[in-house]
Amino acid sequence: MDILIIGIFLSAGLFMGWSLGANDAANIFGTAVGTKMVSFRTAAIICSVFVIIGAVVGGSGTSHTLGKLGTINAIAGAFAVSASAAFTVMMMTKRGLPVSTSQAIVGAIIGWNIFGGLQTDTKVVVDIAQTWVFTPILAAIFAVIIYWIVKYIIEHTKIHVVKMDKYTRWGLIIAGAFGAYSLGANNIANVMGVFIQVSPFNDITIGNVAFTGIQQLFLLGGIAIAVGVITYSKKVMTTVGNSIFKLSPINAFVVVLATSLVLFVFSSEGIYNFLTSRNLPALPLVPVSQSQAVIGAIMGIGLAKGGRNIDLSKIGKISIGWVLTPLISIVISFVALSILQNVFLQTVVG
Amino acid sequence: MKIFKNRNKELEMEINLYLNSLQKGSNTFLEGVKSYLRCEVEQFDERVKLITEQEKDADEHLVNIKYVLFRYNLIPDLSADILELVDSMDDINDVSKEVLLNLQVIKPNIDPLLIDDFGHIAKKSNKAVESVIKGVRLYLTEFMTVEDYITKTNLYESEVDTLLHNVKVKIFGDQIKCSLSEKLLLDKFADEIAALSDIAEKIASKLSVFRFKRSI
Repeated sequence: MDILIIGIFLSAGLFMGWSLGANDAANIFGTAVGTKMVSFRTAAIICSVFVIIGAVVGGSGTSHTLGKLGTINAIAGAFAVSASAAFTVMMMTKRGLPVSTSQAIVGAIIGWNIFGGLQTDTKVVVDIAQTWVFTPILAAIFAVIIYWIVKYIIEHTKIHVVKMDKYTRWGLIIAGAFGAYSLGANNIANVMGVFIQVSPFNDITIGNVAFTGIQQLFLLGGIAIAVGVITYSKKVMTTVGNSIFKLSPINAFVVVLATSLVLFVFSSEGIYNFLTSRNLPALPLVPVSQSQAVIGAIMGIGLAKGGRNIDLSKIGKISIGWVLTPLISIVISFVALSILQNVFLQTVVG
Repeated sequence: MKIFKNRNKELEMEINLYLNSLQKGSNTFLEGVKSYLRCEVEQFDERVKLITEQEKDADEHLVNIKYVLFRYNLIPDLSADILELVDSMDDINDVSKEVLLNLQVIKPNIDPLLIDDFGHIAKKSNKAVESVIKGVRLYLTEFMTVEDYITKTNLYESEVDTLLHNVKVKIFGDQIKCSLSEKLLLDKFADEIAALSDIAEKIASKLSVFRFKRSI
């Protein structure tokens, strides 16, 4: 297929990646940059590098689960699914509705299944939907535990405030790097997952290192995320750092670490294989919403502080998003596939 | 990367040196007042020289703290609090120097009946300053224990208030035989010596608020 055509079809995924980098990097480094603990340049470099590493090294688990939901076997179909998810996110964000890329892509894939007259595996849907509920809860639990540990250290050690500042900066950078890695590993499925079956890349070997076509696809997605981080996230970071969630740098460290851990456990094949090989229950490898994990972590801190100032309406808004986002995405995906097939005469289902 | 240069060590050292200067200044103030009350002219003049140097030294450290704090953007979330704290502490050496210089220039005649009272006020004022400086040091390290020193500072300040009231009653009572202008001058000096404890109390009250901001 013509490289230009491939480029056009992949553009939807690349746009998704750019948008992810522009918005979600702020959840990782927003407070650090907003409070001037870390310069934007440092944040952008670390975020870009680790998001790419995460995507290439650890992105296959979550993509595999999305594949079980629906194996999109035509590049035009993958384009329509990805573009529909991106459009859903854009539209809902514009209206101030809580939205998650992960939920939008799941809806769009189901839309493709419906359009193609294919059966959607309800067990996979249930597994995925469960993770949406678990994400903020797990983030809150992690945040409470990390908060207590950090609080104990701060209150029971004689660390000078100036040294504490230095440690906090390091903490934010390390947690940020981990957060970027986890974001890349977990959310690359949203960016490039639907293109796996139609990947135009072949496996290559450089020296002794084998580089699969899927890894090349994820590298491209990772680069798109990195471009989003570098080109647009500064604006979002300063907003997140200063106005939406007013967190102290230490609390931001807790939130970032808790969120990153959630994304990590939902994308780590190592943990998954370790648990399943011992017949222990394991969390499914699913792309989850980083923003909702952040909200969960912030609520966790609120709970650890005694449960004051917890905005319960946020929980309500999140749960509306769990239902609304995939539903809207299904409809948009169905319409987009129809247009692409009937107006532009493209093969959307192989 | 800029943030990894060890400016933190420099700032920590500057803050320590600044607090040491203030502590020395407060001690010099006490010794100066004592020398004056004992009519030890030479020692008193030495103390005046010393406090002038200590005040200058503290000012230099204060400038360095501000420079390092803002030039390298250290402790951004607490920098405003720390700056406010160190700025307000600068008054300790300023007032100490002013009191000793005024004593040197005006040379008030202190009635033997008032010497102990003035000595006590100076001693308790010094104690209040000492406590608040300890409190500030703890705010920077073990902030959970700051409250003890805040309470101590307030206690010393209220003792100074009581002593000040008593000395005023004595000054304007019949026992002290001097003109009204001399009495007013003594009253002014009593206020000046006691002013140090008021400064300590103000710093303590700021510390009490800033302490909460340090807890996560």
